[in-house]
Amino acid sequence: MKMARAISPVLLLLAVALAAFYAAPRLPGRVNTDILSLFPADRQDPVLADALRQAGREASNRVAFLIEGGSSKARSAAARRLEDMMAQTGIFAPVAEDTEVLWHWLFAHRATLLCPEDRARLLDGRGEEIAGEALRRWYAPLGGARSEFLRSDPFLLTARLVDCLAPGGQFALQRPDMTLVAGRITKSVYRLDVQDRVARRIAAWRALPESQGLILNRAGAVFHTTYGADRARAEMTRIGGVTAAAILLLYWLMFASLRAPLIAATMVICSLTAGTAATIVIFDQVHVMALVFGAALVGMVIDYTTYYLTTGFNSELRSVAERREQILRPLTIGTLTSVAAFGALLVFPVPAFRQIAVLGGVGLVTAWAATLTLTPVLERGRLRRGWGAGVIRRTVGRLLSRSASWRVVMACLITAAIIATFGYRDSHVLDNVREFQVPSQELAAEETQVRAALGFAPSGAFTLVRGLSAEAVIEREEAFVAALAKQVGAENLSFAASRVAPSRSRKEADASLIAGALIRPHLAAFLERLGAGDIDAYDGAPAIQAPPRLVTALRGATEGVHWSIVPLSTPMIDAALLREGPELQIVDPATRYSSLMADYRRYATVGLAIAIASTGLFLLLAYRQGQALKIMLPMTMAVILTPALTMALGMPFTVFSAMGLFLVVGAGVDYALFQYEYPQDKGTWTSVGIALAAIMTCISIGMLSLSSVLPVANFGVTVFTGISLSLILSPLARHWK
Amino acid sequence: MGNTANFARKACTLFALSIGWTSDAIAAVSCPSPIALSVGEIDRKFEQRKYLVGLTAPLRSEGRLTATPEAIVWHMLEPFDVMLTITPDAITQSVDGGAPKAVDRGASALTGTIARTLTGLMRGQWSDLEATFEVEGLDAETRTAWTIELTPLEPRLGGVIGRIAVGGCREVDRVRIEHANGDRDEIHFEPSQPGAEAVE
Repeated sequence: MKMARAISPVLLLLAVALAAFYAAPRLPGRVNTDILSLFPADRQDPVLADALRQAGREASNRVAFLIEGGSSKARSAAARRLEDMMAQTGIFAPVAEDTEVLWHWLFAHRATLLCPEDRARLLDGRGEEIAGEALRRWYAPLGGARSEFLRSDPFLLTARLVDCLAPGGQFALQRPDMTLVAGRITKSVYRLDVQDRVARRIAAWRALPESQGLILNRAGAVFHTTYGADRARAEMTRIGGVTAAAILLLYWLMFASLRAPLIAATMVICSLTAGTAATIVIFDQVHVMALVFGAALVGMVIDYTTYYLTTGFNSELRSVAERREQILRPLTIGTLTSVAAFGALLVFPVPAFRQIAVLGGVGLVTAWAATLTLTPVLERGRLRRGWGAGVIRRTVGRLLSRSASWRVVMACLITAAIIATFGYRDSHVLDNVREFQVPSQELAAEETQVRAALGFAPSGAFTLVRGLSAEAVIEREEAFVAALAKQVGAENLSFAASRVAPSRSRKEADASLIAGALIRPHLAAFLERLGAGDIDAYDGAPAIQAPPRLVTALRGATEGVHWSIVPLSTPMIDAALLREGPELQIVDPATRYSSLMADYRRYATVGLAIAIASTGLFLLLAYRQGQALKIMLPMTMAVILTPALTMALGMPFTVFSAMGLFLVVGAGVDYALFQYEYPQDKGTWTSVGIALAAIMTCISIGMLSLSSVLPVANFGVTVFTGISLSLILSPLARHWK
Repeated sequence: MGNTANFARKACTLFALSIGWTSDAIAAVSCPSPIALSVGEIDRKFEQRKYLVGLTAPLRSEGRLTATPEAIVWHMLEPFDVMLTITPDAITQSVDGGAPKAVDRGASALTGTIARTLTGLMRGQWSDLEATFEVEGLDAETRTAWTIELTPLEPRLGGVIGRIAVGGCREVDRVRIEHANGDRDEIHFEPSQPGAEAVE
């Protein structure tokens, strides 16, 4: 209590200003919109977690633009402009860059690498076939042989390697009526600033005169994330606007003054600023779900302000000190129980849960301090009672001021048990990540068009190969790929890093085979027939250079375990499944993430139980009497009944519902606390405060129910239902007659 | 003597000029503008000479180019039998009449791009080629045998194909590809019908 008085409003504002100064410039680049990054892929299996992350990053960063319509000249000019404009983002690497790096790598290793077919030929002693093909290539019209190769690669082995080892399909457009621009985004496509940069360039390209009349088809995760983020922003603006208007109206009706909503807005800004700054300091980023939770925090922060402002209606409370005293204990205990409930989220190794805990905890403590110190200063004398205050007092306030009898309590419990039984009997749980976000129909159609033109349909699945050394992993991968090639045919194989950067043993064997079965027996005669060339063209060790990105992106090491990823094309999956074992795991990321969602939904449910238990313990410690546990009853019933009711109404229970219930624990207990503290007649105005606070929370969070993004709607519906139930049941915390 | 000599020189010059004028006049009638060049189906014999830096003699090959709306076929007959077939769906190659083998990826995909380009040249599809090249010489006013020059717009493609010069009259009869490294390819096509030769 002394601490609350000791905090100067000036100091508080100074701290908030510092937080704003720190957070404002950092926030735009640190918002993460990847729903899947909410979870640490797999905490039991960090290798799988890292592999999933890396595979996800690689897949999500690819982009392809297919330009249709107009003349080929117009398409080509527009494509060049698009590539230039994408390059101007500073985060786009055209596919040609990767291809060039790969070409240099293959050239450097031309005497130590072999296509599988050529290896078989050389093992059979058919080196003259390779020499013959090279000679035909030198003579062939359009053969692509250049004089430099006379000295360095007369057998044109590099071109052979490019033909058989380079990833095929993805960027080989064979449609003359279309023009392709392809590449990758070099930063996370889930960052809002990255999405904005790409979207701005595409919009600028569309506005160009030379782009008119052309059709642009886009493929890549960045477009889906941009669509999702844009939709979320539009919804947040709409929902936020309606919420602000509703709160403004309600406050004006209650207090007949615009000062009240301005005070509330100041409190919200202070708490959100402090919470966001603390989250960035600790986590270096803010997940979009934590920001959505920030919208929910608005409701709780307004509650605090409302509790204080409604004390002004009570004429028995003469001074600011008396008014502050009136709410100090329930507000402090309420804040501490809410912070404890959010603190329970810290137990989970889920970054977004922890971010919510920090944002919520710091935000609520700031709101508590600001309500007790800053609100009285900003209020400048108590506010008038508005027309709405009287209405709420006569209706909701009177209802909430009634103490329940034992019979009513029992009837409530029995009704709750019946609802819970029915609700949970047909429980509808959703963990499938594919159903969490509905993709844009337009983007899906464009992507289909791009894939059809490229003849490329990635399955998303991959094989994870593990081993105790990098060498062991590569050897295992080589054996796996060779076996798979026999089953599904080499033409159905997708790219494997070991084909371009093989194991040491494979490299030595191939080098010896190339030297013994091709170069020594055939090169001299070959050069004689060609009429020029260097007999020492293949001498010397390959120049050491870092493997190309195509290779490094598929390999890694986690906690001493080396691993590699082999992307699986659709025809490969069944054959790969037959070879699954302890060192070879077939991973379908979508299925894996769905199973993790289920795990974390269960963890969150256990966490809720812990949060409720810790709230009860805290109340026992604060009041030192068993009676205080009555405060728990409305909130606990609300937490149990909410999923039952929402599921009965067709809304599935997800991990996001569980997150919403944490808020119900935190805010729901506040109403009961005030009811418990002020059970007498004078509590009527307290009831008005409780009702008003609950209505504010329901407006600010309940509006999220209207979102078309399932996780957000899920969160909103859960909190709305839970808070409403907490309010309706809050009289159960009063003395029972 | 001197005057006689001067007169003879002037007369020779006039004669030579008159011959030049006459042949130009003939050519103006013989060679339509390259823009008017429009060939649907192609069936032409070709001879290619590949001049490589470091090689004293060019690598010489010959064969037949055929193109229909459905496929383009570059068939080298000498010194080897290699047939490159490009359809909208695939690029295949067959050696010595053997089974066609897909060569639609990696380095061979580039061969397909070059083959399409050259076939576009043969068909006079200049506007399509303008998607990839800067095309110069299309608006030449002379009606003599023409030469069109193509420079790749893409620097990366320029490193592979270099500059292309296409010459012809009623049809394309020679293509010269100059590479940045000093190599050059010269492809000569036999006339598809008698009398279609360029008048130079």
